Amino acid sequence: MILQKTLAKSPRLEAWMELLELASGLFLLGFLQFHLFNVSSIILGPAYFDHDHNWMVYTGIPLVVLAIGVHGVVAMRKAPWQFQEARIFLQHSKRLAHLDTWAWLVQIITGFLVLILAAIHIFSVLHNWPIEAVKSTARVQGGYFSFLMLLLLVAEIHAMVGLYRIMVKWSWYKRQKFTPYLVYSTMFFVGLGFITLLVFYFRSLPKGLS
Amino acid sequence: MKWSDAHISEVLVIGAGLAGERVAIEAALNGHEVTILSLVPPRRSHSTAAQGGMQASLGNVAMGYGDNPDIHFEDTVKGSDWGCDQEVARLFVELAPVAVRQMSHWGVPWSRVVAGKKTLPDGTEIEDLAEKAGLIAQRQFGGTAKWRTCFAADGTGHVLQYAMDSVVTKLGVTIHDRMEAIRLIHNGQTCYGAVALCLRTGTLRPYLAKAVVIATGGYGRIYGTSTNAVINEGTGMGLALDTGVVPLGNMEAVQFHPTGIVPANILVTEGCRGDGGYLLDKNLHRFMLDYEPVKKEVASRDVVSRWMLHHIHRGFGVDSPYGPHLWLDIRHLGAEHICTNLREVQTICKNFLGCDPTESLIAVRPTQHYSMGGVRTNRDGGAYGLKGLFAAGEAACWDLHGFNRLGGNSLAETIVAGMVVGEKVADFAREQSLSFPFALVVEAVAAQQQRLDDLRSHLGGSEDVFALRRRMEETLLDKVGIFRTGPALTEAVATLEDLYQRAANLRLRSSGIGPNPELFAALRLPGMLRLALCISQGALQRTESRGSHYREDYPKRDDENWLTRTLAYWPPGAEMPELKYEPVNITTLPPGSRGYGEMAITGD
Amino acid sequence: MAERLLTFDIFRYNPATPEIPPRMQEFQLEETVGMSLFIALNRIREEQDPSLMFDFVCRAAVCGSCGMLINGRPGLACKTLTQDLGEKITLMPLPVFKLVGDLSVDTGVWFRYLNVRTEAWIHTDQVFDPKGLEERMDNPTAHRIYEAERCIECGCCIGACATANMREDFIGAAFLNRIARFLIDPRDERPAAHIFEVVGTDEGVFGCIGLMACDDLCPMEIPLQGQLAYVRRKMALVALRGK
Repeated sequence: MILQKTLAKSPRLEAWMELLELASGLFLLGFLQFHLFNVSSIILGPAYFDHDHNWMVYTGIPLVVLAIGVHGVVAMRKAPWQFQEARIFLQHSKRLAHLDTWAWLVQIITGFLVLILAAIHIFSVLHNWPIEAVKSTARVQGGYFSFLMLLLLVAEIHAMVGLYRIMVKWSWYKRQKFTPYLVYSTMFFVGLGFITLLVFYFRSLPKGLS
Repeated sequence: MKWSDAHISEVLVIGAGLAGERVAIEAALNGHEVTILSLVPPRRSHSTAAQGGMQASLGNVAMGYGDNPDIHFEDTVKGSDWGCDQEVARLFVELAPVAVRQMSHWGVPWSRVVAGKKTLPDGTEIEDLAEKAGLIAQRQFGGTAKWRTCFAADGTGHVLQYAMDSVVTKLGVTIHDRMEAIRLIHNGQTCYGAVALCLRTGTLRPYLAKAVVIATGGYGRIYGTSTNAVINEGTGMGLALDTGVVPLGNMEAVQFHPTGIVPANILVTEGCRGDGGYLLDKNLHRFMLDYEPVKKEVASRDVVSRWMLHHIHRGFGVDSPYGPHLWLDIRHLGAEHICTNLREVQTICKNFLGCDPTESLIAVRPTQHYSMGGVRTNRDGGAYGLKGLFAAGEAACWDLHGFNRLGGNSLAETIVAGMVVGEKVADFAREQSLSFPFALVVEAVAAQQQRLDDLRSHLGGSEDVFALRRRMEETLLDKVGIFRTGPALTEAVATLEDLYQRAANLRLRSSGIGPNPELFAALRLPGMLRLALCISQGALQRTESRGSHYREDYPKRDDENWLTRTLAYWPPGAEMPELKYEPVNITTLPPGSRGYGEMAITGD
Repeated sequence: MAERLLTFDIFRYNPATPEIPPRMQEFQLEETVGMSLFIALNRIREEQDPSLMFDFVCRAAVCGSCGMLINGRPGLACKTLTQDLGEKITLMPLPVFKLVGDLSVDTGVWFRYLNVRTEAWIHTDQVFDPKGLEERMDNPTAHRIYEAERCIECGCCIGACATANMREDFIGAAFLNRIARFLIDPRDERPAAHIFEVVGTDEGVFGCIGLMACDDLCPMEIPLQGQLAYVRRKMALVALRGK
């Protein structure tokens, strides 16, 4: 027994952290795809896009911000924070040349990017409340296209790798079996997001707003 | 040397395979402080490589109903060609079921009986009864009247060793791995311990104990091509022989297993044939039907190996760049059976032959496999000639196997002997007090240190370790193999004698500093050559054929003159072993017919 | 097959001569048909450098002694054929384990320590009765235990694991799989909460980040993904139930 380690130890807590990571991850994944479906309604026309979003601001957005915060903290607890750890991990990954191992680095980097990009995204949306097709169109055409495209890609990749990891860690299925479906669904969501962005980009704006 | 350099315990076990660990457990359960020395971590021991199974007359499966220790006894004695000690065999067959059940209690996942009707590959219908469902399942092995071999899928030795080692771990037995005992400390009457070489650092340390147990397994590697692990160099037998007062028994009894794969010399289990596999020649003819119409492929190993080699000599072998071989065919057993009960075989074929045995034939050839001989002990496992020295398992000549061991009897022997000898060791250690003659210990360590220093200083000598070793391997394989003749054996003895003299003049090519493999090989070589000489000289003198010892010039068993056990001594400073003989203990089963291997082998 | 001249780039270090720093050394060898790394390394030792340290025991992929990094990836040298590799072959010792010298590492002490730490033996209050019959077990259960018990403690999963490389305390796939074996076994009477204390931590199953190099590189092809998920679910359930 080593005193400081034994006193600091609370096994239940470590299990809860893991479950929290799982739950917040699943929640954010659900939100992301739900959000994407919502936004993509622009493809059908602004009438489908513009409806009352107010309930989201009072319940949804704080919840999402909270989930991102929680997920960020619990997920980052295992990242190689120490310089030596990071070097060991990089050298190990290079030697091993193993896709899944590299995917963890992808996960860490995309996680950080999502944190930053999503913060900007939420801020810019809240700043120009409420959400309307016209305002969104103006944002996309006003230089946000590539920003949103990057966020889309980064978030979807993070979500796919995350879901893959969840399935690997918790499910009964062999990963060789479900991996293709994850890739297909990610391609679908990225495609959907891309088309949505294109629709925004090429929509004509009422005069005075361009 | 200081006293504090010595590691002192009550029982010192050399070798951490199944036999060694079972002895250690028994001694530890009796309250003794036990230390195990091992060349490798215990779970890497060669015991783990045994795939097939462990014999015990449980009578749990349809083809084993009615089995009992008497039938197991009879099979064992016949298998040994009446060379075994029948009291030992009796003790063994009675205890084997207990050993199997105790291993189950300790966690071995034995395969279990599934009730229901089944059809064997030859079309026979059998039914396993519901009342036996869930008991330990058994399969057929060569040379047995009943299906008696308990097994855990395809890795019986592995799971036995892991369960055994888990108990050793639980009991807190001290294990020093990568430690090789290189010399026993003794005064000609009593054994006090051993000088050990640390294979991590190349330094020496004396281990002292009231009782010393040799459980180091066989010497297969002196044959070069062998199914044995590379650590099976007979080091423990060498230790005993070096004392000059402890004899090795029946060293000429060397078993060749019928199915070593070509060219990797890895064993595929007897279960292949036991479960219904065929041996085929170059014309895909099932030739065993011609030689053994009754037992076919499942006659004892010595007999099958001999017929195989005989068939190859007649020109029916399949030619390959690695010499002629025969085929083992298990395709008709079905993919499901192969993928579960013979999966190890499938893996070996995939890894080392690049073929799938569900679809293709397996190239096999008889390959050195087991040493029936070893440190001669009494029924309690006590070595002849030295108080406080014991031996168990393949390293010992207890003598359960006589001139041929039955498949599945070796795993059973390691554990049963471990139980029996362990108890005797515990009794012995309880009655002894700890006391060691300091001068003797210092002298023993100094002598070994001198050997190390001489080799490291590169003074004198010119002989290369690996070259001499290779020559020894070739000699044994060519001239002391399955078929033996007087002239070839005479040549072998002469060659080995010469090699033994040259081995006194070794010169290292490398520095020999630290954990140096060349140094370790050099230290082992003279001992290996002494074993080789015991085998060859014993084979030359024994002018009869018995079990695995087959003399083409004396093809008959000669009970009148040779119902004896060879005892090979190596007096200090001698160049050759000194052979003595003792009668074999026959109790209830007088010599008779084995029921297989009767047909004369004639050249044509 | 054309005879190739193989170049082996081998990690060298002898702890007995610390003044010579760790380095890579090149050896060249003519390839022969069916050559494995067991054959190749022994030939290098016998013909070129007798001081080269490496470990083999069974040479049949059942003992787990010869785990090493073959072109960067953990694997058993005995069953690796040179025909499956390029002309240049890099060999290094397994990481995580203490180096004995050159390609030899001390897996034995590491595994023994963890066997003690995880109490990897059957815990039972039953006393063995030498006269009784064995306890019954259904064959599928025996097979499930066997599936996990097939681990040969070669250390390839440990060497391949990023977490084990970074964090010394992590018990790795080998022991999570070992725990699965005891969770399945009806003979082990340990309550799940007892096992939770050993593996329900960040040194145990919750330290695993699921990179699956263990699952991809296990020489025994033990389905480690499934075994680890099984332990994770069991342990999460213990945490949720609060006992």
